[in-house]
Amino acid sequence: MARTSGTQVAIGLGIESFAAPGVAVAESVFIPWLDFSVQGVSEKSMYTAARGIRNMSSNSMIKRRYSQGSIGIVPNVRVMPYFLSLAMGGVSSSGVSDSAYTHTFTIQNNNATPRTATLSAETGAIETSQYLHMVCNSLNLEVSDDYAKATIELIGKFPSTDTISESYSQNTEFAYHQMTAKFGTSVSNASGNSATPLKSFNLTINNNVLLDEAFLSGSNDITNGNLSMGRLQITGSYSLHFSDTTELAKYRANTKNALIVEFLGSLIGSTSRETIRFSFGRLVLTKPPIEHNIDGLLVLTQDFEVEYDATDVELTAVVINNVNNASTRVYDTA
Amino acid sequence: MIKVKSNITITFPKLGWAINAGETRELPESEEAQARILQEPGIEVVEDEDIKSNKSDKDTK
Repeated sequence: MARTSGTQVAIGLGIESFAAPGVAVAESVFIPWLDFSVQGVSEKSMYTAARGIRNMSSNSMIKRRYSQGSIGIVPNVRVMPYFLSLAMGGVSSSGVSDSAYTHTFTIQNNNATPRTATLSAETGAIETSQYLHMVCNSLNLEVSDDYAKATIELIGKFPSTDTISESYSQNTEFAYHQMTAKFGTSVSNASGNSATPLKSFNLTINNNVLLDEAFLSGSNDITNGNLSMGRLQITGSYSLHFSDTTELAKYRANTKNALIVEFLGSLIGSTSRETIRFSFGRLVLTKPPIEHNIDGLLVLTQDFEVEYDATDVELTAVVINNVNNASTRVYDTA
Repeated sequence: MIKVKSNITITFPKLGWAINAGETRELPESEEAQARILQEPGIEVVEDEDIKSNKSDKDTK
């Protein structure tokens, strides 16, 4: 009996047409993954009526079928645009400038019909599963003193079968030392300030997908278009050495605290560089931040929730790479 | 034999083929493999006249 190692699992993803969610598309990116747990879920309901026998269950049925799981990666400019497109919904791409293209991702507020993806997973020679209508329930980013890690949690339809032929390109795999964080009274003010050295940064974009609302009479599978986003919650934390009262004052006074977190990688053109950038309009600091470490340094850990701000929207993400999305529409298939 | 040039470094594990950014390489013989490789946006076919000749055009006599 052949055995299959985890490294023989290949994952491909393509963004489905916004007009036709759940209709399969070809993979346009193959994902070098750190964690992978997406699989079909066949939820059972047990029949437990009294029937003159002691055994609790005398029958069962498939209550509902869907797929769920997550993919963890080291973020790079090739894969991250797909994750951001699914997590945020709004995509706008520029033309070429110095061999590079700038892609801007924003929160799509008319998100009753979210952006969907086709995910294909080849498990060695055992099977290749195709997951349609995959939506992003949450996107998480964490950075401390090593490679950064992005984890996307997906929910979608029960799998069918597929075939793939994978390819992997070379990009900067972002780490903590390629990250800068700039604070300010607004995003524009923050961009002109010097970077604040951080010990760590964490971010979670939670779409709270309404899975229970996807199952209506007539089918125990997800019908195309039946997965909807709930309320958006963007939270996270950052930590830094406690060396002055600037950060502490922001927590105590609930001062408007805008933040730009940016990763810069290799050159694409003569000056353009691989970039992933998050701009937060207003962070509300939610917990007392001082950590008095007897065996270490004094540290501030600021937990935050992102508030909508009329002048600086809650979150804008930018990726700069060499993909001409304005022409190919791989990130926002119409 | 078809030659291609790539603006990205990319590998195709199942096809046993890879190319570095800026490199010109011959495609594998299999038509299926050629079709798969040419799907990548960063890879383009190189026309024969784009490949410089190594012959000197000077008459050295």
